[in-house]
Amino acid sequence: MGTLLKLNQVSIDFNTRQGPLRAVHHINLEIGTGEIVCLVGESGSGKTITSLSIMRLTDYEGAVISSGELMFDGHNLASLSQKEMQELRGKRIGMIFQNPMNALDPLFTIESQLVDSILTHRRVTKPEARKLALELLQKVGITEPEMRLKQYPFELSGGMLQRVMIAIALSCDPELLIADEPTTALDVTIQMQILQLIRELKDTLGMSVLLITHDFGVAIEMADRIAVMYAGAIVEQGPARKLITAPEHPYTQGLIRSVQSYHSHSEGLYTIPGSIPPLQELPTGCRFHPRCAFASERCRQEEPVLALTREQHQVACWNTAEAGQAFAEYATHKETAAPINNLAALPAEDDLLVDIQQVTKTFPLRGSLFRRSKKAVHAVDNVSLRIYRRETLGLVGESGCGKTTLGRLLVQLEKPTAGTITFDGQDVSSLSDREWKELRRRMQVVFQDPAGSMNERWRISEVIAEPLHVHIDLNEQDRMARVKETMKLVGLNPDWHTKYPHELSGGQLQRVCIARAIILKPSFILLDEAVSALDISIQSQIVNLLKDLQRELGLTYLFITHGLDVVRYISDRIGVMYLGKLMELAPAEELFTRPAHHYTRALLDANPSMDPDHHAQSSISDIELPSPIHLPTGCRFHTRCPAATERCRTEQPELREIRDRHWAACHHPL
Amino acid sequence: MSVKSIATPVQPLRIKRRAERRFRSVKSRHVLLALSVSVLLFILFSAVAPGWMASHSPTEMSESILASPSAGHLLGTDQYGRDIYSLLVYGSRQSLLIGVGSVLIGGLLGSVLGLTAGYRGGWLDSLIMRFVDMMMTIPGILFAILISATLGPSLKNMILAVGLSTFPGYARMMRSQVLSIKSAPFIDAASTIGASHFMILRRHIVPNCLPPLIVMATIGTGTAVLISTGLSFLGLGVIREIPDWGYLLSLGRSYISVAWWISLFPGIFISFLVISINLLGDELRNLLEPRSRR
Repeated sequence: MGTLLKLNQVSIDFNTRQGPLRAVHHINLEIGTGEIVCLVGESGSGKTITSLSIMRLTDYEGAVISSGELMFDGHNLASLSQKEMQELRGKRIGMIFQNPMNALDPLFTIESQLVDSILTHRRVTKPEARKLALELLQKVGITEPEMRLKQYPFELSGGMLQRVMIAIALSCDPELLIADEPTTALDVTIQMQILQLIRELKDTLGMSVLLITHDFGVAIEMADRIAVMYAGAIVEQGPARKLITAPEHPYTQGLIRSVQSYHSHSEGLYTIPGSIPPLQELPTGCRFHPRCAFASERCRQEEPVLALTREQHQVACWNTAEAGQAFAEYATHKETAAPINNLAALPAEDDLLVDIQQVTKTFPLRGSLFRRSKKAVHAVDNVSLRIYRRETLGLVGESGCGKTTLGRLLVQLEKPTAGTITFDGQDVSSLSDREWKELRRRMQVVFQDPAGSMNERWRISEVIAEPLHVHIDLNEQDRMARVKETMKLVGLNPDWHTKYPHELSGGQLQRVCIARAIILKPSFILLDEAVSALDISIQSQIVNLLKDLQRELGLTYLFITHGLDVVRYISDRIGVMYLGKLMELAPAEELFTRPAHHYTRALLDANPSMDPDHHAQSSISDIELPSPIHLPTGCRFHTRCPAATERCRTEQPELREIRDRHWAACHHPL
Repeated sequence: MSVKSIATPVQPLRIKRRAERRFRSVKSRHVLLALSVSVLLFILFSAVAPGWMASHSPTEMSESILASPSAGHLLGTDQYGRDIYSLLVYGSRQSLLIGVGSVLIGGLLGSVLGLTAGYRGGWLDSLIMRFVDMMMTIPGILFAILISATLGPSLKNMILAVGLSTFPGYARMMRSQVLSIKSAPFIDAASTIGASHFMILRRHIVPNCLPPLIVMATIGTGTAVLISTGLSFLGLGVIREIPDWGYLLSLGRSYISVAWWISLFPGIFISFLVISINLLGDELRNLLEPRSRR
């Protein structure tokens, strides 16, 4: 197998007002012909800018390849002119991006965009190009390609658009495909289909793939080799399997242990302390040493370089021996996931806090001026759900399933179309403004985007104190004392209260949001994708914090997410939603080990695991999610269900208890 | 395709130049800012204490009629022998009053309407915005003429006329600003905390609407001076012993072939005022960005 692309000591600098800022430092990376290499790293690790440098798109980002060479099939890409690069881009190197919805021009049809890209690089006539476009769409598994060609991007779903993007990238048979987080914006069932497609295409076309991801699960699914990046440098790389089972760099070990600890039943998740340092404040010596348990004096002084430790495996660490031993010890002692299928361990179901009864929410679509539209989006359809005091109820489902709307209904950010919601015995829709304000004190929300959910013009102390302003008359001194006390409780340095939001990292900001939520000592917190936007190492810190707070303050959580690993770890019971319906409701461990609904099963199957022997698969029919405007009759899932029968097509299944505390809405439960 | 020698550290020239250009532009921005501040300070002083700034009395008629700029009369004299420079200094108060006053009226009225429409939504939004649209269809200058003509020429009416003709722009801008802020997650966060509408408006929405409003207001000040100039030029301005800049400009019209300085210098003063205020407004917006605060 020859080498197609070789990055040799490549460094990339950003030009800033304060002078050049090193974003990527002396990285070496090789991609062989027909090989999938995964570049794994958390946000800010420099993985995206590395991929852009291969296309020399860095020039447009105000960055400069300041040293090193990028050898692609005998050419040094770093020394080519932009014009010469244009010859390579699209033709020999294709690229797909994270968000397919933004990567296509909304004004042009799929056909014109696909044909354009073919005509740019190939000497064919327009009719020939059109034929090629059709073939390409078939190749990337798009059903009814003739119809799709005529459509505009907004008419296609995210998964299909990503397929179109891949088709465009493939239009000139590139030797190298760069995929930058190609499935991060997609649902887990669609993600599997796209990843499978990339793997098949690699096999049939013999191209090389550089896959950039933050998700170790995806990397294990896909990669022949994995390179792990941290703060602008590659810290470890080698064949995928060995890298996962026997990582040698403490950072890789930490990441893998964090992910794996979601499947354990230990008290807290394994976490790497601290967070990625900003580029301006990189520590001396090894850039990981402030967060490393094995850091020695040498690590503080001297920067380690990538060195071969075993066959094809390189690590940049001074203490691999110690670290390797520690991980081996962990691996042998690792709990072999003894599932506590013990229903008695669950919180008692006698102390009802939230009772959602037959709640429905529809959003009418706007018709035109002369024609009233009768159409509506059925976001939540006749859902009943109970949440008991001190429990964590997880709510999972793919985008558009109505889980977020249900949460918003609960905290009255939306009014239900039908049904009642009772909080601690009070019907929330019948309350007067004053009673409702009192109730607000006891139910709080933490949103997905911590930076967006605070006013960026306010200092941290003002953000945290906002609920106090609304509800409690305190003098300035008492208020500050309370703010600082809460900051300590959520693990923030109280001296930071004068800072502005943009001075804190994402994880710290989410702590601020949590502090704001608990400062009034509520009994219930809605966590709407509260950890989904955070990096793995930060995510586990926040999950631990949430668990601790729940224990200390006796909180009840409704945890809404699409992340299956997190929800399994944090929840006592889990509800699964699909197209506005609650499909299944069961204790967490029961749901994961014995799912009853075929949809739940499909979700679990598609979830990439950390086990290199276990491949995720798509057990769902290769059909797109139906639109929430034109819902299928009968069981909502029957269009994609492998076990659908005539009855499923006509009769809507009711939610019924099929095992102890295990409810499912399915005619043919597993 | 030519492949150049390998392993040389590459520094694409174009990029380097771009960086240099950016550096230079930072420097020139500071110079421009200093210039515009001094221009504004000069005009402000003239408005407050014209006696100190002027070289002659504005009503003093010298014997040299229509004299070109010289050491005695820095910017020349008009047809009555009055010193142009001193007339400009004394006229600055009126021009500035019109600029600031009309922006206050237009900005305040427009903002309140836009804020209400955007936050409240529904039928009130439609009602207010249709009214604003209606006002927008009438050209600003025409509207100002209408008011000046019906209410008669006075400083107060001039301010009112210019202010009323500019408010639709503020209303539109404020409404769209409110709409985008209203959908931000931190507004949801505030309402789940239990904050009242008044609190959300006062503490979240208004402060976040201010930066574009300030920019628009500074630019509006310049525009207002221009509109008032136009009105004066048409003879609908304030007719007083001491003409404002626009009126002076129009007075010079008849003598443009023999005494270009009567029209040119008021024109230059107006342009300088407008440009300086705009530059200052840009800078103010940058300062208001929280990210630049530390």
